[in-house]
Amino acid sequence: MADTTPNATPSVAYQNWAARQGRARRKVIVGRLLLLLGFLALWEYAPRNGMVNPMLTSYPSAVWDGFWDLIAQGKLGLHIGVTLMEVMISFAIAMILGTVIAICLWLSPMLERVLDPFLVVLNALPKIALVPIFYIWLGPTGSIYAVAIAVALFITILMLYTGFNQSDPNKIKLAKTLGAGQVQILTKVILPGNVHTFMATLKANVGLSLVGVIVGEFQASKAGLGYLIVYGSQIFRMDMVMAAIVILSLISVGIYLVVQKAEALLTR
Amino acid sequence: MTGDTTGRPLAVPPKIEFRNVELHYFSTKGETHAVSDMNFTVNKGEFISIVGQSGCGKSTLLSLLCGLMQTTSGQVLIDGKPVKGPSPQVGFMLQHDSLFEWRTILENALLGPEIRGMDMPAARARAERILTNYGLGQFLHHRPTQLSGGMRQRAALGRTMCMEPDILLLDEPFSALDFQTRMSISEEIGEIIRREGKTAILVTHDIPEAIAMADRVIVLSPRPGRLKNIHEITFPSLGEVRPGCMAVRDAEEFKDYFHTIWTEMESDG
Repeated sequence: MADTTPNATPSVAYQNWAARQGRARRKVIVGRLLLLLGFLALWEYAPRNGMVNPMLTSYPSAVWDGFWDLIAQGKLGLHIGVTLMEVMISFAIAMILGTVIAICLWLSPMLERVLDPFLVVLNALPKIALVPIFYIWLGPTGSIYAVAIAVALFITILMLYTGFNQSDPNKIKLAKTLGAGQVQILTKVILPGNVHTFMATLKANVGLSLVGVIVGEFQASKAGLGYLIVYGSQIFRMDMVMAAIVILSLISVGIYLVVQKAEALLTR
Repeated sequence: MTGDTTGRPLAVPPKIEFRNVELHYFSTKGETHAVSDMNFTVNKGEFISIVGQSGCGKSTLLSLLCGLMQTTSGQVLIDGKPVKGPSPQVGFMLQHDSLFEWRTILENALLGPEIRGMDMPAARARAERILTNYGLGQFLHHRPTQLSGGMRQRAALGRTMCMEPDILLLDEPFSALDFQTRMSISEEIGEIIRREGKTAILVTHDIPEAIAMADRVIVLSPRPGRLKNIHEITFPSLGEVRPGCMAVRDAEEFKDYFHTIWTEMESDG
């Protein structure tokens, strides 16, 4: 085994190297901040000085006011809450249903062979095209969940099933020599060996569920960030639209951080 | 079972017997005749090596013995009873150690007892004792990725031994190791198997390894695998007690065995 324990007393060369690494890190952070501030400054400056039409682009200080306006109306919490709940529920359903179906497909190769072409077509089909149908069948609330689940479900099934199928054949053979049946191979080899596949699917799905929910809200809804965006654009309140989009991006960052934390915990 | 009370030895079936075994593989591309007219027996406590060119069906013989595959005709018997499926009595060491990286070394060793639904506290005590005997006492709670190749192979042996098998099947278990580790670990594992009185079959393409570890070497012909010859391996020049795998490599007889088996494997048919 290679000994990779760091030296107790670092050499001068190492200290120089570490200092260079630190400087590089700081440069990256400063670069990011400059990019963000530059963008905000340009966005503020150009509309105010008539370089672009503020009706079309709005600008940060107006978005900020729009944001406070929404809070003052006491509705912002409701909109965020509605969207978040729709994302969580459809994400959970897509994940659970997709995992169960992927497990069934793995347990029954015959079922997989029969369903394979249908799954490929359903996965390739743009689910957003189904929004009007879902709306007619399920009404405004049901259709939001249906779109979000449909967007995330098929990719979950395909990603997990592919991961299951690529499990190390030597580990499966070993489990068989120890007397494992199909179900034990599943619980001892396939599932624990696919935690990383599961996490990758999770990451892809959070984003997809959010897309599905927003699109569903575009079609028909009484609340939610998607509603806010459509409503704002209809009454030409770009500040409201932009505020909703900024909140959406903050939500995506928040969810990403939660998933990252979960991954760190699960793949220790 | 030996009938000592009557003074008359009853017929004790050999530990392992291949009786007129034939095996055909089927695939969409067609049919392959893999093993033909296979007949041999192995006694309790014997160490057998099987050598032959790649694709001669030597690993297939182990899969048949372990019950992972069924013969097309003929029988594979353990203690006189036909093999029906994997049993805790037969331990299989594969080419890759296949330790599960999401389990610690101790948890890896407990995989078999978990699958078989054995008494877990007893299995745990046994696994700890076995792994400690194999020099892994300080690494029980380490992950496989933290261990060297030789240590991983010893952990894999521990996992096999935790099922307390009386037959060990070794399918080129040392071939993934570097030369030096390979020499010392094969000596070590050969020693453990002999000390514990296990019956063992080693499949390898390495002729010196086959001779150094075994009491008898079976040579197979190219596909379909047929039994070509069986060599008794003894080293009279080294005295009554057979020394370790490393020491026999220097014996007079070793060169002769190597030459004979090499020539046999080279000649076709």
